[in-house]
Amino acid sequence: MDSILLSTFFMSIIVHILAYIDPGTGSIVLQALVASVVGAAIAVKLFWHRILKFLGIRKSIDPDPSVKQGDHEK
Amino acid sequence: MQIEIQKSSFRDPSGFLFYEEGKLLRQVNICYQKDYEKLMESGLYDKLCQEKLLIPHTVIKNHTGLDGNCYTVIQPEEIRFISYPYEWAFSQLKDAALATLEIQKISLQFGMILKDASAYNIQFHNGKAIFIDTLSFEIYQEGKPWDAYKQFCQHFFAPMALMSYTDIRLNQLLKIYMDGIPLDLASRLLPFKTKFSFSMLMHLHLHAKSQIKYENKGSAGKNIKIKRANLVALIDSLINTVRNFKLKNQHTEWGEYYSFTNYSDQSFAHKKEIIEKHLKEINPGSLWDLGANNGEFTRIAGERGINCIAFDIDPLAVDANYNYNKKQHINNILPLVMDLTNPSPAIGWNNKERVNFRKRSHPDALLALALIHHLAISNNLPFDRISKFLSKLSSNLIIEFVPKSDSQVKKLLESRKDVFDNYNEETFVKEFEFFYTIIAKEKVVDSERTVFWMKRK
Repeated sequence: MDSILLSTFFMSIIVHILAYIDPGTGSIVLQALVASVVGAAIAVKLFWHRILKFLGIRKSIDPDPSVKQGDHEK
Repeated sequence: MQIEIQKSSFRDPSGFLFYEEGKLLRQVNICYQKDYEKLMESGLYDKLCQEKLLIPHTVIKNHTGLDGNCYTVIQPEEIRFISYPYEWAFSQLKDAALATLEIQKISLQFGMILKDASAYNIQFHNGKAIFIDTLSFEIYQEGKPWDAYKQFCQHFFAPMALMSYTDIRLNQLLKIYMDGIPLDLASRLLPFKTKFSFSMLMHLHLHAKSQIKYENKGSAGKNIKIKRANLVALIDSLINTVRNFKLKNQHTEWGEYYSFTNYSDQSFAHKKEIIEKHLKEINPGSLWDLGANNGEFTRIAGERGINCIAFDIDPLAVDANYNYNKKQHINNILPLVMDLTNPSPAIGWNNKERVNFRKRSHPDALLALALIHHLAISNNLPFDRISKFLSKLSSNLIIEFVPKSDSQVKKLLESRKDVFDNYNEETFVKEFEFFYTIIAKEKVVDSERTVFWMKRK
């Protein structure tokens, strides 16, 4: 148990050192805000699709809206 | 053994690039070992290479690196021509941004994340935007925010927004701001109506305000956690917004050039024939087309399998060239925005991080069609300076002389005093023969123009 705790501690330091650019405090704060807003919006959207599916109004849950073929040409 | 550390490779403690006997190698440092192993063993490397999103590499066995920090040395596949985001057209910047976001999304699926999102991590390779920094991946820690979000917004989001909503030329600001366009500057330059777009408001305007507000409050961000699902939602939001950026009806001087030139079908065909003939004789492996416009003539060389760079001052023409090639799956032409009278300088730390235009490479041949009058008349450049400049770039030159009797030159002289007494074919030949031997010369049918093939002395 002690060795697990110790290696987790050291891993977290190493990960921290590797992040060499300055993330910017303001950017982290804003990121958390945007991520929670859009995350909540997606959760609501998924929940709504599930309800509609349950009621038989929609056949299946929509696929990931951000994945589109041809964005990055193969 | 000739060894030189690559001049822009010094910020990331995970490793660095160096040249050894002309080969480009990357030292992976011991501190990056765990992340490197995860990248290679998790399947992420294979997936990204398969999708042509990451530059493949081979491990150089038994190489101990340049110092005591070395874990391994790898050799990435070589990029033929290095270009920079301030030289890209709108669609190239867009594809570079989308490639970065796609890589970030795939990385998260494999338990990794990008620790930086610089536009300089992308190069164009065989016609596509590809990520070249193999050491940018780190093991994802659940809940940890994305450190590179700010860099992504400055390097990609801000320039794209400015090009879309304000002016297509504004990615040139990336030449001045090495770490991307400051968000407060971008926010100020964007039209007010962009504040009504949720993603523009969040990723740009409020982001700029948040940066200023928390400037001296470093501890505020320390304990912030972001759930993975929310982080993915944020990436999706960026993907959707970047995808929807478009160039609205912007007109530039040379954007619709080929609709309004003075070539008849006959003269166009003859000019193509002359160029094909010379290219067959020269048989170059690489070619630069200067003043390529939408790439109409570059593609003659491209069709012969020649690796081409197509430079033009007009960002819309370069954009059209890039999109046409992409649609037609033409992978050996790289269009770039370049003002030949003020080409990309060497910038960055010690003026060495980003290489000046002339030092990038030396093509086997140059095309300089419908260009001389822009340099000599619009820019008042004497013939001897033009010929000296061109002779330093390549040993073979296919150049078109456009005389004063040509309608395009007449247009240029319409609004100004004709101070160009020496602008004639005789002087052109005399000044170019100082640096070149003229191998062939042929007047284009149904036109006033003459195409020359010259070899550097």
